[in-house]
Amino acid sequence: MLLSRVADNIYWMSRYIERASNIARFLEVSYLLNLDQPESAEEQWAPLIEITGDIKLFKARYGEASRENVMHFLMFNPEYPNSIACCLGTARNIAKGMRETVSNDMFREINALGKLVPAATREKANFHTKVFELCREVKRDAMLIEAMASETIERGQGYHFWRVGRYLERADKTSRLLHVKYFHLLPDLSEVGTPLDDLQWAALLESLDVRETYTRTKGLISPEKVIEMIVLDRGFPRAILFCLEAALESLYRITRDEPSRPHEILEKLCTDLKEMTAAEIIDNGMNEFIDELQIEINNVNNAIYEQFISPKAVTAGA
Amino acid sequence: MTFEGYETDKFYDELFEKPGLPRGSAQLLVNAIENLPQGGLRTRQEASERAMHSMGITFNVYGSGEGTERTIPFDIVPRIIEGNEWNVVEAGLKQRIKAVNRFIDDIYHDREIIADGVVPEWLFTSSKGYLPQCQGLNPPKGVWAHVTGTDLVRDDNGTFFVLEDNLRVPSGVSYVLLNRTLMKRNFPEVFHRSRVRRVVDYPDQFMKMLHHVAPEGIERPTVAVLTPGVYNSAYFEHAFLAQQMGALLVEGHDLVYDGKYVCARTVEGLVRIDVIYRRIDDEFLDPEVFRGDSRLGCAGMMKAFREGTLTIANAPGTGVADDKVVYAFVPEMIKYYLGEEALLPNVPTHLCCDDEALEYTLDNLDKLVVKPASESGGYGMLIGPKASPKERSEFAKSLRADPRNYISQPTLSLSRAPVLTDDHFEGRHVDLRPFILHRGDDSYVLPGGLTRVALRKGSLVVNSSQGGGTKDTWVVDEAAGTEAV
Repeated sequence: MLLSRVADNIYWMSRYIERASNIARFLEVSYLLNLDQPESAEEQWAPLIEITGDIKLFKARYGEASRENVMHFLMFNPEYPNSIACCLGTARNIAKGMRETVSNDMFREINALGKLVPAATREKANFHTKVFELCREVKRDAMLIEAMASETIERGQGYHFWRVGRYLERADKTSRLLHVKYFHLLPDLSEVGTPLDDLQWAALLESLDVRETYTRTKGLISPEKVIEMIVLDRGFPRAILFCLEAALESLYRITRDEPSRPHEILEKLCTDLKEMTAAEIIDNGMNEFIDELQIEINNVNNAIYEQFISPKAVTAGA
Repeated sequence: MTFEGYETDKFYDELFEKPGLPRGSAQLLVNAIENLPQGGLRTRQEASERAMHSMGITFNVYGSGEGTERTIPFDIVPRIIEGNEWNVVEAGLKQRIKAVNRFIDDIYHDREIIADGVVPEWLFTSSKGYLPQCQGLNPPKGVWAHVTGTDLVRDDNGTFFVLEDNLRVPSGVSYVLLNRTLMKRNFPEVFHRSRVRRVVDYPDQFMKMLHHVAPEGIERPTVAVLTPGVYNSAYFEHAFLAQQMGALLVEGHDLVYDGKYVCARTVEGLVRIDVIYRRIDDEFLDPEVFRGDSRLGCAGMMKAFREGTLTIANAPGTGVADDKVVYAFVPEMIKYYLGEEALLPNVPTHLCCDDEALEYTLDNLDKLVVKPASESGGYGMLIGPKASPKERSEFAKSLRADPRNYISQPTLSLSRAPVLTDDHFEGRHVDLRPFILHRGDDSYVLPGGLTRVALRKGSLVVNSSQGGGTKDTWVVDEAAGTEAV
């Protein structure tokens, strides 16, 4: 038996941890990428803020998208709810509020991870090294927590809410990453296909931990093949379709195979993606594709709330 | 680490008969501690405190803002009680809880004890915990106080006295279980050889008791722990108990009364709840009946309770007996209902509603402890010998204004136990809160209970809300051998 409040908490705890680890990935890769830029080129940090969709907030607070500003905003800012520090702090608070549900080992990790970033020293001299180190720790600890969830939680409804949260969040973040690469890093179309372009695609793959797999299975960089891999692949765990299918599977487990509104939306989305090719996505417009995808993911999120969490719906359904 | 130079002064010491001479039951432990390498005990103490932080066993002090997370200080040296001595305490507690439950039931029915002139009528009419809404109700198996945390203290001679009966929502049992887990890690060898009575089955005993008192005809009751939420200072305990017992942990807004049952909102719709172990006070239970602004309970809960579709533990109205004036009459209750003499004595108590006692109390404020009748947690009390003349004269005013609300007792010189200070041991005052689960025909008493220790030198206040710490409490069977471990 799973309380609606607890289901909601599990779902968001999972999303926040996944969100933090995605932002850590973005930060890490941007940093590496900028190190490889030719000296003449300007470092590109603004696109990173675009991924999060909070560029206005950033500009109001910091102004210039300098390396230090962006790093501080995304890693430490205690008032920006999507900074890594805040995401992990929120996850920790949620965990504290459902101590009876979270296994002891998982709680210990989430508790420690929630304290990690605010406790980190921030001397100027080693700022970059520290941010870098934190990124690696956040990524690794998030995976550790994931492993603990997978090893310590019984496959009940709670586990599947955890899984739905993680995969919806991941699908959303992968799509944002693609969006940024596609539209912000190379505004000048004449540069498409240049070594710089290739470098950026490679970085994108790197941030998803899939660069080597890509090279081994698909060979040289081509945008079409990259999109195939990170959008339409059904076997790669950070690909959008993989994530959506995994979330759908868990939704069915939650309702013991009974379909409902969130299932319907998600099922349709998966079916559509399965019928698409990378070339079609590019031809029909990447921008439109990603916008629609994000709207649908959001619709799934809202439908989950209406179906399982909202006090009105739950009470009326009895 | 040695106990050389450890003084027992003029107090009863829980581990030492006199300086240099450990009690038989403590011999093994003392040897083990003395044989630890330099700094070994300190290392264990620090590791235990870290473990508490990482497990999130933190405590919020009322009045301080968010972000003040601290653990209750834990002292690594356990308190030891000899098994035979404990057996008497256990029998005394069972007797007391049985009589108190009979009393509450009597008050909400025919009040024979008053008709027979054993206790005065004003006793319950003036008690804050009395609920007219419970008149005539029959909770399953006649149990009102399911869980009790009775506070005991020892005097100079080592005699146990009952200090107060916490019948409403006593807290602290999670610390008993956690302290034990930590101690098993720290002293596995001594533990094994000392034959310490186990506490680990408390959650099972608790769940069995709650099943036993479920509404009639329910075979597999759904049990929930009702918590005020994560900002409550005892939240960790609520979650811990729910987790250990396999109960749902619910907050008020998770519950809804559907016209017949109290239900929980789940992802599959409403699910009936049969038994609620509540950790909120009576006045917050049901906004339709008590405080209308309460968001902690559930409207309709009292209806379900009255109609018998829901068991609430402890039952609403139990607080009538959780009153320091009523406390004074417990020995009479035991005689009246059970025909027995009380096995555990009360601390001699003066009821300030009595003119003579009031005058006596006012004349001896510098020697007495004065407590409000229906507060808990050590709030609002005066420890005469430790108070300033100004504090005493201010307290005298409140006392005169509302004498019914106060009792006074002699200041006991509470027993002491050694605690680890910087690099040596010092005696500190302790009390003991055993936990009793009552199911009607029988009770289960957790062996030992929570030892609270006043960590400030000379202090008599052990409450965690006021700077007290805890120790593990070992009830040890057989005098242990004297060989070194």
